[in-house]
Amino acid sequence: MADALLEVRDLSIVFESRHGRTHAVRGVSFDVAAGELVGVVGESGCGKSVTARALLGLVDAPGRITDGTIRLDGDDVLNMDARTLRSVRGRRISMVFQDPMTSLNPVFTIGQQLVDVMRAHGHAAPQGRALELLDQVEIPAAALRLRQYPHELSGGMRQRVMIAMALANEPELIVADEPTTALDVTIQAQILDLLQRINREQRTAIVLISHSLDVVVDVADRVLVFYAGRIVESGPTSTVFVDPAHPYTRALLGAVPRPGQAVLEPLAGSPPSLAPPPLGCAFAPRCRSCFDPCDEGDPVLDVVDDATGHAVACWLTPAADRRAPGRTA
Amino acid sequence: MTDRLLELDGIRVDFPTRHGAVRAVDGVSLDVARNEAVGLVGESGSGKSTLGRVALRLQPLTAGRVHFAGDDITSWRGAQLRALRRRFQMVLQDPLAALNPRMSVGDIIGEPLHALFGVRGAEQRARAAAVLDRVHLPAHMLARYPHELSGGQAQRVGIARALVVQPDLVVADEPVSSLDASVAAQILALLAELKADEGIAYLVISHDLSLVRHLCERVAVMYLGRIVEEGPAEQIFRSPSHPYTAALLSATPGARGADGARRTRIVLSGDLPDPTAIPSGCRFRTRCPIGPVAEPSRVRCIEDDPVLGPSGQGHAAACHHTEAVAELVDGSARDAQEVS
Repeated sequence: MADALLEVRDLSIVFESRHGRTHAVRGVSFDVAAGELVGVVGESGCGKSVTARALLGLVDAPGRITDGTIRLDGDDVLNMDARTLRSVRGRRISMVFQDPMTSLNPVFTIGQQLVDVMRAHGHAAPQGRALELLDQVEIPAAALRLRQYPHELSGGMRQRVMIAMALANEPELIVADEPTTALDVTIQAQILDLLQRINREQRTAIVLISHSLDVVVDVADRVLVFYAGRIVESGPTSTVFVDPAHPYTRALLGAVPRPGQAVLEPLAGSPPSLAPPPLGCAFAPRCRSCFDPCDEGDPVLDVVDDATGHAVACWLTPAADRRAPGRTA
Repeated sequence: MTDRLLELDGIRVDFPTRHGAVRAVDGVSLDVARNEAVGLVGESGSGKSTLGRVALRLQPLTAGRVHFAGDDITSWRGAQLRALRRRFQMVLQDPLAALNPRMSVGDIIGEPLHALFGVRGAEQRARAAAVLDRVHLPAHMLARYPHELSGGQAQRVGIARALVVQPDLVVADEPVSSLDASVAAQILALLAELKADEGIAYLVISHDLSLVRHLCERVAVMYLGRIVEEGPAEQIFRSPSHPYTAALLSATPGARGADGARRTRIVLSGDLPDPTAIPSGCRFRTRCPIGPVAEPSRVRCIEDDPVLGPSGQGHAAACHHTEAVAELVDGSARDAQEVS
């Protein structure tokens, strides 16, 4: 697509260990348009976080990217030299992590850390901008906060500082990996509100990663559902939430206790080992709708509705070019 | 009354700190009936976990009384208290941290039998195996060690250890918050099944309102050491009477109103106040969306500490302006419709 800010194609990542090779990400492709808020959901070990880190070229040993391309505005992120990559990280793409306490340096003040982020990318007048940034992320008494150390701030405040740092160089894309998981619900609501406002007002594209479908549903324009290293469903959030097509997405929605829902339908079992990955559909052993083709071939992610771009990887869903069983994607 | 299993009456817990005493629990009363599940909801620092520990006499209290099955157990000690531990048990949040890494699953589950009943040997093993089956784990798991278990399996072992002494009451402190959604649902289903089959009563402590709603008949919402709202779960979820409950409900991701429509988040300003300097009057007023911050004329919130009283909705709330809460909830539902 011409208007994609970020273009990920056939991304595959493996982890080598004593127990063999784990195929953590298995041929993942997706786009993020400029100014879009894309949600990524999945359970622990589904490959969502390592995919996020790959966007910034942050996959370290024993992990290895074996295949695929990541393009940011046409520039190939995976083949950049170290210097170019450094100029991309924090300036064109920045990241917000789950635990702000371990991401902030405990021995430097908030102000110093904010200024460092800007200096690293040649910002001319970082001091004034630091104050402006704290205002932007709605930290009261900003001048005082700049002189404080991370331990003097609450969890919610620290996450606001992380977001301020991510915003410092006006990036095109912010990758937020579980930014609210460590926070209480009312603070979580504040942070989600802030991310949504940044996305709307500054047109910064955001990739929001969460294990909670509900968090993503509340804020994202589009959602990618990860399972066992693959995207199994993607589409506009409202479509995926109201009319989920993949049995895994349906099960996830049914398994979350939600106001107005009488019966909880837990999803039995757990995700498969990816060392090596199963031959057929990875969800088949837990799927209630499983039938013959599911064990034989892995269904590819195919668009089922051209108007919305709603795509599903399931043998049950009719798609234009659902491939014959036995062939891999 | 005979059907009351646990009665907490005027509980106060102070923690001394360098900056003065922190009153973690400030005059809280709460009952749990036999085979009833009561949810205790609140954010970090609300005092909910401290109250749960008081209920099991694991936490010394500054004031108040604890009754269990009709007996005043507030000052029970030694052998008397140990005998009581056969009747109430606890399930903890982080199942792996709660299990001794050097003991096998069989020993972990069997230990309370030995410690509390002096049961050993073949009978101990047989009862451990039986309870493992109750939590739907295969018998070969008895020989496993905690590091070989998944998070969900470890939590099942934690539940099995609590169940093996056939308690009347289980206090579950955030029983699923460290688990993935699909695994959490399995554990919730298990807890509900055990309640139906074994007649256990639960005090479920959680920050997650939707979890509590699913498992509990009654809910108490805590804020800064006080219960601010209490009542039947369905009613509290349908029509909250305290602005904090309303905000919590709307902040819960995926929250829907009674009509199934999406609600906009009621975003509270700021963080929890410093617990050594609790605000005058209503302790929620500094963050309250309908309090003096938003409506300066509501000075009563600054002057008077509201008590937990009937809210006209069949439950109790501690708020001077419960009439404004319905408006807040409706407004949030209406905003959402306009947005979508």
